Amino acid sequence: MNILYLAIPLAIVLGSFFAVGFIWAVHRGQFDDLETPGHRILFEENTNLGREDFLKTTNHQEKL
Amino acid sequence: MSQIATSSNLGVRDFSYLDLPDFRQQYLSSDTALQMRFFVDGVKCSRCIEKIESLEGQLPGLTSLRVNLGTHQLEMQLQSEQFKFEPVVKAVEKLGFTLQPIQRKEDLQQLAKIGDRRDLIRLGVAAICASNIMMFSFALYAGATGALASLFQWLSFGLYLPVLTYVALPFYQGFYKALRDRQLSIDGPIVIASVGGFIFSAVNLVRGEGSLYFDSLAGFLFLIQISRFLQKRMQRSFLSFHGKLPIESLSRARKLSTLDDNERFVWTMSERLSPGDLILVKQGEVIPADGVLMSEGCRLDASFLTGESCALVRNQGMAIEAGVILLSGDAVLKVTAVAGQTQFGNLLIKIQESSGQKVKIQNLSDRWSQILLISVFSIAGLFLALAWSTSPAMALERSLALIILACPCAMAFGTPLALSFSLRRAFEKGFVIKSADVFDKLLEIKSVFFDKTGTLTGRGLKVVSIEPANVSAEVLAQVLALQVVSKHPIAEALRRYIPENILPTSGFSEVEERIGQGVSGRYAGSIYKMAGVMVASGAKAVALYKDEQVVVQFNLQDPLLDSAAVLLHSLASRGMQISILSGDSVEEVARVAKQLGLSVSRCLARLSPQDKANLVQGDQQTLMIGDGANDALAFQQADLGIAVSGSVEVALRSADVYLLSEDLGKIDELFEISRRAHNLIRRNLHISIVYNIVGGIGALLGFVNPFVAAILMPISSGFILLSSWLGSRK
Repeated sequence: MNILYLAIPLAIVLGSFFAVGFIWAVHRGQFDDLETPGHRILFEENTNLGREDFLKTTNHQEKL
Repeated sequence: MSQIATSSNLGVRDFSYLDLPDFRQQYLSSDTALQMRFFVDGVKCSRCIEKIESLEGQLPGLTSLRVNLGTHQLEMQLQSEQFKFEPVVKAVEKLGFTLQPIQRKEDLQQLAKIGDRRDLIRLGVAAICASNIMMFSFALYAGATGALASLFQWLSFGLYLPVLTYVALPFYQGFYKALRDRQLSIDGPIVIASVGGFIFSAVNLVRGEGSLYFDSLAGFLFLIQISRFLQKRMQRSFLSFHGKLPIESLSRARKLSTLDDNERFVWTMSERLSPGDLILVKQGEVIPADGVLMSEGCRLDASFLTGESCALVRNQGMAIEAGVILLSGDAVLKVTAVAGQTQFGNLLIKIQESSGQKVKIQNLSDRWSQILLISVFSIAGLFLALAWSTSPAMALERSLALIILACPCAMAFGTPLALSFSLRRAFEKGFVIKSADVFDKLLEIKSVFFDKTGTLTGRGLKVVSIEPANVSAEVLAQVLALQVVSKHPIAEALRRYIPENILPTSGFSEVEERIGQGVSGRYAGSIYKMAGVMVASGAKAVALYKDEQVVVQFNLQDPLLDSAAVLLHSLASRGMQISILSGDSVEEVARVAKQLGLSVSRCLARLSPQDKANLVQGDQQTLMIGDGANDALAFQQADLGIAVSGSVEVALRSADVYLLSEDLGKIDELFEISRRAHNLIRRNLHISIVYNIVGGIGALLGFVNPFVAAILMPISSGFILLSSWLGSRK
């Protein structure tokens, strides 16, 4: 049972660690936008195309 | 052709004012000195986001460009003061998206974000404390004894402290606010349970005997918080929609000023205008101040402002009101009145004054919790008095247990949960709702008022018939050739009517448009002319003349939306009284009334915004459905206001519900959603009443100890969760 005297403070320290981490993340704006970042991972990482070429390759505007 | 029509509505978009020192101050975001925020239209998918965000790093000085899909906003950040926002805005608009800058003081979304963050932290703290308290309590229930048990009890006490002092703060505020208004809200019992339960448990802890309720209380406070948070989030989505004719666009004007000995029109803030100044307004822009037209004749669209469906024609020297949209060319005006002295400005002031006056209704669960609270307290008091003689300690403990257990906590989170499910369902059907009050209010509605232009009828004319019925493609091509550049609503209707595969005849010369007289041109030796034809009042017609001979005649009308008749029918079958309040002409209103089978006596024409508001106010349990600036006051006076798609910003802000599609029939579905929300809330209330009666009797008989409470409370919450989920699924 003596292990409890180590485990309990540890649990509380861990708990407060997560609480602080959560508060920090909220202040950093991690939860402000839950939608767009999910789309962002789909971007091509390195487009060597110039802006004009990029526009040419997309026909999205017509679809709109 | 349709593309010409839509882009012409936008007119020339001039954002150069954004970079002038005066304006920068107004638009720069309060977060960072070099950041501006815009509403962005047309972003639908990852492709759109990528297109916009890929501009980052490609334009000089642009350090960050971030789209937020949830709030329809775009955040733009520049490297330093010397770079400009205008080229970035232009580049984004060139990609096919429209932007509308958000003024710092108007940035409600920003305020909401701060509130959201605070709520989130509160939720996080509640979750961490509640779960840890529960862990310790579990050990106690499992039979921990001795020093370890007392350590766990003190730890629960310590962990409940942040819940009591920080997490429960909004409840104290709500309780205080309700008390100030001499009312009891659902916050009352929550506060009494959390504070009373704390004192009761703390006393027992010090005494070393009796029950502790820290775990149940912390768990409940967390559940209530999270359900309220969900409801708030759903209501928040109202802020991410913006209407047409932004008020923001009235805040600036191009004033004739002398710069370096040159007279030029430069952007100035409207508040710096004074009567006598000359201002320039470009095609598609909103007139920012009342004035007299100094340039040649022009055509204006006042339908958003007054409900008038016909384009207005003004000649040199005539007065023009602020708030109307310039359809033809550029115009120069001599300012006669600005801001609050204009009719439109006056309307805005009135709306501001009467906003927030809407009566808050006491919702179903607040009423029930009041009854419950009163009965619980009288029973507890009665029990205390009767049992005092037997054993004061027992009497005190049991009556306190009753108060804690009978806290309508299940009610407190069941209702917001049911409401947030209903809000989500309404959103899926195309409704954005400002406050969940709407569901309760909608079920009480007895009379419905409709605006006409833009609500019952579409915005813009439609060709209903042509004479002769068969015309060759060649003739249509000639018509198109004459109408291709005109900004007149009739020309737009014709362009929409003529099939897209027909191209304008080339070879027309001397094409000339005279305001009020149509368009003429020379082709193959003959003079062609498109001009109005005199027909019976209330109808509009234009004809193509070839050398003064009519070739073809087009009859036009404001088309009645198909869904209007459907909605009116179903509203009438619900026993509601239906009226039309319009600012349009008597003939137009009579025509629509006849088509919809409404009695002409209930369809009023030529009404000012104030008339509309007065008429709505004179009735009870009212619903106003409209879209224009002239409906905004009526929205505030009505118990409920629904703004339909394409509404102007003023109307949108004073409405309670925004219908995203043009399908009025959807409003019928909103009634259905409200009815179901109401039923769901009732069912949740029933569950919690049954639980309270059983728990209350148990508490008085002394059967309830913390262990039983720890089992009973989650069971009741589970029932409420299950009931809400089932109710929202069907």
